Amino acid sequence: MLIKLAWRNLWRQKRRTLLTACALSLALILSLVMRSTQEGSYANNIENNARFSTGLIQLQHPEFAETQSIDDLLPQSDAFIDIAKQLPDVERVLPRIESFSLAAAADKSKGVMVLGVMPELEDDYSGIASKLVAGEFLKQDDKQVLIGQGLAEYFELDVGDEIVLYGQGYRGQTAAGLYTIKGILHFPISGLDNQLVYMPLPLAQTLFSTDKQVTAWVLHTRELSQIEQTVNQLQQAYTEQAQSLGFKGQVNVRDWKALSPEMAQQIAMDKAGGIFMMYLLYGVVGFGLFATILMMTLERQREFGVMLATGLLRPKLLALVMLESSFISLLGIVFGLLVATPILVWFNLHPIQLTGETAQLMLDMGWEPIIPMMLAPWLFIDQILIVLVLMLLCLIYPLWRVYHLDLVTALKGGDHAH
Amino acid sequence: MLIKLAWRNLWRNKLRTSIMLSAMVFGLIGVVTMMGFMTGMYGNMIDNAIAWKTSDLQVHNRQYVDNPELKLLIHSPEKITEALASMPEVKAWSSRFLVDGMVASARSSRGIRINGVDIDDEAKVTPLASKLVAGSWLPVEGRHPVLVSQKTADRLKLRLGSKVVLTFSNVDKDVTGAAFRVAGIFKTPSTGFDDGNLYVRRGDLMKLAGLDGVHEIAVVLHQTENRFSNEAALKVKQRLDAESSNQANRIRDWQQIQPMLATIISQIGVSNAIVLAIFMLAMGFGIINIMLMSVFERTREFGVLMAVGMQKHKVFTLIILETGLLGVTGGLLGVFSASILVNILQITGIELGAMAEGVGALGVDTTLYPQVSVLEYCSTFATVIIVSLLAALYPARQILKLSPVGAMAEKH
Repeated sequence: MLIKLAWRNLWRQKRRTLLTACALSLALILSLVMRSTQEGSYANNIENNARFSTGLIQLQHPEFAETQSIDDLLPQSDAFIDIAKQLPDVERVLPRIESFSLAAAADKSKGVMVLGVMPELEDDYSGIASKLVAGEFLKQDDKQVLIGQGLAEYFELDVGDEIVLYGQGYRGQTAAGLYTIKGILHFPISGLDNQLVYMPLPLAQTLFSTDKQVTAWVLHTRELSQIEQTVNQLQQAYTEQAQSLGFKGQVNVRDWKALSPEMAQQIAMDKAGGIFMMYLLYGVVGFGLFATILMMTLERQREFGVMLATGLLRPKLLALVMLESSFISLLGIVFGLLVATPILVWFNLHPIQLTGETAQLMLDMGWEPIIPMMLAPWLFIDQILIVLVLMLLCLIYPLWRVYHLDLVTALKGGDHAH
Repeated sequence: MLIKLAWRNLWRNKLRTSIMLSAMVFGLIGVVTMMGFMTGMYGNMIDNAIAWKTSDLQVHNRQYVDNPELKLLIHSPEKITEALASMPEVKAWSSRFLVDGMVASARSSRGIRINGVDIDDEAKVTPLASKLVAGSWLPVEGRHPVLVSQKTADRLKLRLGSKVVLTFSNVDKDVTGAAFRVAGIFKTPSTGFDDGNLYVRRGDLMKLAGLDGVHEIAVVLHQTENRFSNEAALKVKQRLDAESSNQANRIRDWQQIQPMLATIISQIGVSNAIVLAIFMLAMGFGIINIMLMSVFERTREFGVLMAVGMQKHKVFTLIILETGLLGVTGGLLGVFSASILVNILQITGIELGAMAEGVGALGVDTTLYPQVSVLEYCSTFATVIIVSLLAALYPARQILKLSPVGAMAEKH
């Protein structure tokens, strides 16, 4: 009954209802598209960064974070890594050696990052083999290396050429070697592309004389959202079991936020900017909604007066006003979702590929130049909740006015009479 | 007369007009602050990039830019410095000898670019000498002093006086190196720069490399009014180009060295315009709604006005004027309050300390000062008025469609 009444009241001022609903849905569409673009590119970047660079979680020697020294190592033994493997959310584990060395070819030299990996495992994880621009991918027992495209251009090297690595090995030993280039990789993270030498783990262990040790165990979890929990479990597991396994010292468990704080903070900053803009937009639209709801109540003081005089209870009157506002908000939400959802679904399946200057800019900043949109229920729920909270805020004053409506003045046409 | 009428009409429903004005003020403060923040951030990024990395101009050997080989020195650098000395707009320049190599301590090692600089000249070109965290600027005396960044110092566990070994290949393609002592530790706004650079004396480095010369001359000009423009740099570039006839050297201005900066400048305007457009759209909806309400409440009144002989175009003008006045009032109040906020923030700054590493990767200081130019205030204000006038068209048309009789008969 009340619902029917509210619905009919709504259409007494068709234009106003529609305009208010439109403004709401406009804010909803813009915010939803913006947020889902943001979250989509964050997820994409985290994923990219994880697969090609740091992984989602790394186990490291406690000193390594600060020094990145080849002296601070972890054992590469089954006994050690089985502890992590036993956790339900750990999907895969990859041993790596990461160190710096001087590379020289012809009459140029440059400091490079040497990455010793298990080639098959890495390819399985990141599909890195598909990033080859020349030559072949590594095998585990190869004595050859891959280098980044940027580095290859710097040295003017091609497949089959040789490169000298010269640096510091385990406990001050000299690490030097001459390697043939088996292939050239276009590494999707430009900072690394310019300074990467990629080699099989056993070869790196020989180069740096580390024996069966690694600088990091890279872990990947099944769910991005479960990382925090997994990190805690790992920390606990290693503190408890390390001693009994005869492993001296502790293990430092670091998630991607600790591994690449720059990215984590840029994401946080970008997100803050987006959310600020979203609230601003809703704020502006909110004033419009407030004006509509307020007018809807003030204009009809006389009508409300009559209804009260003929026996309608005040709570019911309040419910009526609330229902009317809810209908407007619902209209806005439904309309907004109807428009936004197809857009999101489309761009979720066909991410926007940027080109030209903007793409270059993003590459320079270390981001991949695509804009994928995220489709996640919480994004939608967030927006709907914001609209509803906005509506409740807008209702406070009008409801208060209605509740304290003076029957006599209202019947005379209210203080608003013309 | 009409204006007076419009102004009075606007205040017949004080509550509603105030709501709309608040919406405008709220929106404008937000939009202007946001635009100021973005401009401030990108402006800071560009300032820092010019101050620390690119300077206004750089001279290299033509081939060195694509292929940084040790042997590709600048052709007759004395001529260039002479020419620079004769130009009044040139503030300072620094000749650098550059080598890519490794820095190693007993603890760890990193790849790094070794900048060999002339002590006095470099101090005038980059703010390096004044931004030391510890120690002092490279001394004239003493054996092999080196300046490392805070980041490198942390990585390699270095303190003042620690010994580091620099290795690189010399002109005979042999790996060479020498021990240096840390004389000072610096920190720039850009973590990427800090990660990849250290400074030694040019003489020391040239002796080790077995080669005399200059790879890079960085030039700074006296400050110009518009710092987003590279005009002054281009002029100097032209004159330098004219003086050296054989084109053996390549002179690039900062926009050529870092095309990214030019892209950013062109994007500041676009992104600010998008932000503004979105808000104006939302605000436009609000205004249409308010005006529709106000017009329809007064349908009868307008009917009477028309019946007693007011021409339709005057009624139309009246409605447009009401909205226009609403826009002017809201715009003025909004822009005024926004400018107060921006001015306060310009004194206090916006602290981004918690995001130090993130902003550092972008090469931005941790305290940001929003920047809004007079032009931006004006264009924002103008946009508000244009949007209000556009928003008035629809409600005004609705009234004009009615005949006086129909309008007078209207009930509500």
